[in-house]
Amino acid sequence: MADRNVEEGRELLERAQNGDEGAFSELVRIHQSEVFTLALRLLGNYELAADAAQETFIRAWRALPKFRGDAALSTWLHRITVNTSWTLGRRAQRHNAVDIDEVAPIGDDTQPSPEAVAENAELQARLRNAVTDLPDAHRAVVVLKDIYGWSHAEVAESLDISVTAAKVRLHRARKRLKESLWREMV
Amino acid sequence: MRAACLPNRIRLTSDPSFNSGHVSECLRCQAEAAKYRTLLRYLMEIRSQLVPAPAGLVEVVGRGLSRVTDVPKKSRVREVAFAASGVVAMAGAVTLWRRRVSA
Repeated sequence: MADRNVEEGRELLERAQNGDEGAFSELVRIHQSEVFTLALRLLGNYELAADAAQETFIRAWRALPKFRGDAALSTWLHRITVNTSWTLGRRAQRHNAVDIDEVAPIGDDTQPSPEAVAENAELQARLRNAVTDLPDAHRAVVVLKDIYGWSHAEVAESLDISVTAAKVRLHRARKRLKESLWREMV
Repeated sequence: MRAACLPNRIRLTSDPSFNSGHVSECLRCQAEAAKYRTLLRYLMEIRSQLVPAPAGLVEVVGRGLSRVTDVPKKSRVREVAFAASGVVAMAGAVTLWRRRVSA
């Protein structure tokens, strides 16, 4: 079954690379939540994340003929999402378009597994909010490194900072997250 | 926090599995390490918790694609126009050359 899905995905990708809009729309349908979730976690704003997701797929469509398949399609889309999110985030900051009241708590509509709920739903919810409340620069590092498993070097390159700076930001962000999670319990 | 804890706490923030002689004996540092391990585990779990994309995203992207595919069509029209103007110029040059030859 998994092989069949992989085969279908490959076929869709090939058709999309040959200009088949229908095939690309199917790929968008498959990857839309993944792309939108990453943008939302990076930007912390629902409207902006929706714009970023849309722009990501348009950029992907333009660049698709150049996609050689060295990495998985989702990994490639993640990179485009991150770059697009930075562009839109910077633009929004310049135009003061981000309304603080519009900032949506990340993961409000998510459905954690029953095991996770049983284990510590309150802690999970608090963590999602704590990630949202982090300063932009710190949130970016935590999302890419600790949630999406990027290396320090990849994070540094994406943010155009040194590896040392990325590590320092991560250190501060983790410390802040830990403090906000366990503040009331200590 | 004791002075001996400080350098270990800094290491534990970066690497919760870090285990020095001090950490293996200090319950406070072990508790700190446990908190960071829990934090990292929850952060990793967040990845699988997808937020549904806004309704209609596929359609909006689809409309956007049509605009993108217009670009090559426009450039093809430009190419045809450029080629046509080249042909006209050539024809003009040939006509002028013939007039000169006949004169």
